[in-house]
Amino acid sequence: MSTTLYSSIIYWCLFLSLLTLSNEYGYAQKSPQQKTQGTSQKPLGETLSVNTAKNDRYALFWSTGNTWIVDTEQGVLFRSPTLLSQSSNGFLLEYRLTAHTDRIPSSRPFGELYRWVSLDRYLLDGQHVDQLTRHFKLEDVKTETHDEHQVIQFTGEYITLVRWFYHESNKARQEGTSIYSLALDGVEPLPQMNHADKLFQFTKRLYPTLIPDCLAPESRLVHWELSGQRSIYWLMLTPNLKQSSCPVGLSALRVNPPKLLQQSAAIRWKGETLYYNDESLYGGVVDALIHPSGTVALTLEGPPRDDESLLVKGVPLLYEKPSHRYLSFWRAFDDGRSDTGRHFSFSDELEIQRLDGARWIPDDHPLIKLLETHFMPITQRSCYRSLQVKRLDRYKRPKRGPHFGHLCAIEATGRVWEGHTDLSASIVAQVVDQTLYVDLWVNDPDRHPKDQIKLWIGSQVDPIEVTLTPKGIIGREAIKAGVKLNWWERDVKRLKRQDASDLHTLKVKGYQVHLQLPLSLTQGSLSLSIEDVDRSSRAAHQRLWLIGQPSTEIIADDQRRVIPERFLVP
Amino acid sequence: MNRYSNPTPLHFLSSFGSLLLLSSAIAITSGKSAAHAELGGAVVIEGLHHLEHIFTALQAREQGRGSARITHIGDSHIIADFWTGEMRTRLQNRFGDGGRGFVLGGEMWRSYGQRHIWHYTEGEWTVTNLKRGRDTGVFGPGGAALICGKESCITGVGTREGHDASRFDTLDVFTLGSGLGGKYELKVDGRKVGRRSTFSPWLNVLRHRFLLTLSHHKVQITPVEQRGEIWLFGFSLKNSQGGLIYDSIGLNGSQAKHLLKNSNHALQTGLRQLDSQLLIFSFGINEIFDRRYNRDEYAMHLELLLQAIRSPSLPSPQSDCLLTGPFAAIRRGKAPPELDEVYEIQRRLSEKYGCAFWDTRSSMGGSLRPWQRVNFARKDGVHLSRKGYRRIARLFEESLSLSFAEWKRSLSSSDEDQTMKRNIDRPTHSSMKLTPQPSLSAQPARRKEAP
Repeated sequence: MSTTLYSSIIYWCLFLSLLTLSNEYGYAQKSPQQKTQGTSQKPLGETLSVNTAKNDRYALFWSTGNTWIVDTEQGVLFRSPTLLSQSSNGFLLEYRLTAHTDRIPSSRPFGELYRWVSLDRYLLDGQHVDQLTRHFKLEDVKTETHDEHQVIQFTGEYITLVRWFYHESNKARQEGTSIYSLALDGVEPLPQMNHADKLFQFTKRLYPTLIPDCLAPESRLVHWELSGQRSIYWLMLTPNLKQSSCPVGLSALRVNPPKLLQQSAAIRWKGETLYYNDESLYGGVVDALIHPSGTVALTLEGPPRDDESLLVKGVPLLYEKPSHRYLSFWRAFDDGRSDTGRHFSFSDELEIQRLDGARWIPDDHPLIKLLETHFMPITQRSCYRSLQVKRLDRYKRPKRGPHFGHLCAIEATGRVWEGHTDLSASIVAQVVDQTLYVDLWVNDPDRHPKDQIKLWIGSQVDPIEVTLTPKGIIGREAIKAGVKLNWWERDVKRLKRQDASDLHTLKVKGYQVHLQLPLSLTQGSLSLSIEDVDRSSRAAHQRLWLIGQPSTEIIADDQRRVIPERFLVP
Repeated sequence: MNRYSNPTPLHFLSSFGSLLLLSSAIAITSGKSAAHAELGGAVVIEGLHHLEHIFTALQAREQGRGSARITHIGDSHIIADFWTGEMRTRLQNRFGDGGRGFVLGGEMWRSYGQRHIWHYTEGEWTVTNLKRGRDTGVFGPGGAALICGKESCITGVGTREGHDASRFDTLDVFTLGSGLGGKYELKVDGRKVGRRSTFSPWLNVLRHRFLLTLSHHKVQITPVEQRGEIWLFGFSLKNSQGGLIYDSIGLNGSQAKHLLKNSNHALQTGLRQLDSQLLIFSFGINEIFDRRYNRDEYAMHLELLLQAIRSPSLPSPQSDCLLTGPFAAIRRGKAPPELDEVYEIQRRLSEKYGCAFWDTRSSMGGSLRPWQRVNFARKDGVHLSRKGYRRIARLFEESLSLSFAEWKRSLSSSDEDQTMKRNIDRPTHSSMKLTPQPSLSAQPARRKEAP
């Protein structure tokens, strides 16, 4: 956080003194239901409350125009391709952007184009409730005109939109961008900042080099949620049209300090690193949803966000800035020791950018009932992570696996995967000179003699497939000599949590595998899966993809070809 | 028979027969020459000083440097790729194979198909183009799009080994970027290459570039993750090792005004992303055969199009512009009178907006009838046969070569520079010499005066 505590206090005081409510910018329109039933608005500036009920199974958030729900018990991520939320009066509403086009008669063949994108609300049965955006009237449009809206943040209670308009006439081309927020549920309008210029001037005096001279304040406030569910307001600063050019474009000045990031007894933030009992869980966490119990957390790792500073330049760029971020779920099982935390990661292909409006929701939340009809479980989709390889001068056997594994790369036949306590694994790979060392930890409480590991290496066209078992390697004779395998049966102490107050220790069965093979043999490609046989039925079988995935190409009946995953050696 | 035996009546008959054959052969040859003469010849392109960018690129190619790209846009004459395909082959033989260039995203319509390119389209794709379909004001470089948001939709193109312009190592995928844009997955030769989002805060033409190994490839696009619709405009297949690309872009029955269904910004962006040194526009015949044809309206529409492409507000255009007049045509037994009007308008506006102009009709010899007589033109009075398109390509390529040679001459002689500029707008055919096809002598162009 770039601002000092001192400036935060000054700002907060100033903000309170300047903030007044006004109806001038009442963008939000009431839905018919709201008009008849009425609702109560939450106090301004209140952060989203975390459900402190016992249930911590489902987490809800919105990102990239999708609604996401994580079932932390089943280890499934659900996605709905639209924005869904429950209004305070109990209605489930869907928010949709819709493109419209019309042609305005003119001397140009086919007329002038008028295209606008509106934001509309619908009930789940498809019934249109209302349009939340306002546009140019058709009769006022004479030349090519665009009036497009995009959602840059949706938090369930607020929606923040960026509006781009473009108007072309024979004389000139006019285009502009504005940003505004709508309070979705409220009969109350968004706050309007009176005497915004005073705050603006005060800030310029306090930080003389912060704000370029070409920026001028608007009076409208925009709601924004920073990481960790911290609500703030922005005062929009627009480039002064009288000046020929402005290097920063539409900008935003934060007018109130963000609250401290949410902490719990065990999970704490230190900068951008999340700590559990003073042990670093992750670095580079850009957003997180921590349960009040302090034993579970949803985290997003990746490149930092650009919205933390006092002045944010180029605000429209905040939306969908391309970056690879990893969504992970963390759950504490240990009794305070550092080696027993465990979390699971989702694929970066999902491109989850933020955890906007993140909250824990109870089992009986109306959105949970929609999981089967309006959401798609990510487990049925590609959900793999590439192999991260470290180059070292000397191989050093790692004491434990990293705090991540796969939550969704499971294929089950004849039984249902019962979550990470049922079967999970983690992997560490190191390259020393021309040798690849792979260490693998598998948690499998229900061990079976026929449990094994499948390995594919070499050519991506004609890979070598071998099977690793406790008794040795099965597969092509040619590679057996070059591969060294160690397999240990090892129990791990785990804490099983019945609920937040009832913890007890148990031993979880599992095994550890060490693999050592020439780098040239792999040809830089490796896929690996854990093949878990169920004691209850010979037909029951689970496959946990740790590295790689089957290709979509079918080679015989239902047999899919496995193409080894490429990995990079630094 | 004795070799030295006396001549017999049979010998006389035989000799007489030989004479007959010889005389008839001479008659046929001279008839052919006459027919060829009627089939026209190359003419210098008018305003060739407007072709600075492409000629500079061609000159570099002669020295084995860089790439050159020509984008030919027009109606059914163009999209069929008979004319342009032949042009591609001819020019690539001389300046190197730079790849296949722009192709539409799939089977846009039943008859769509171009030389040495294979399309395969499955699933519930819908089609939109400049003439019909969904309208966003953005139609991409090719004026058409395939639209689908379902994972069951697959479309792609492929080139095959051994054919002209089949190898490429740079693939550009053109899609509609919009706030409602979805995501697609690209496969090349059956292998996943990557996923790209077509999300863009604002409506635009997106170009995603993929670098491949230099070879012939099969390219496939599928929408993924149900995040929204993919509007696929097409692909550009380029050989980055250098060479010449000749794009063939068009729509059956289209007129110049149809390009204006694009917003100006979209039109400019779409064309600019092709990085061409020369944009050729071949329109006019559909306008003439349109019952609602109006001279003033046609002039206005063409001017609007040229304004959009040659707008002074654009950063200095790196593309030259060339208009080709419509083919000689026949309607109800005679040349349509509107043809002269269209020529006058095109010629005038070319000059006004800094474009070169090729007098197609003059190059064809002025009339379509001789072409019909030798089955170079069809009976509809508009279209040519395959042989005819080959012939027109030859004429165009020779005209281009001739003009290129003229341009190079003007460069080498700075003293003559002013003279060139004075004379360049006149068809100076007397100085022309054609080397590639000696049988086709250059013909003085007969400039038609507007009535």
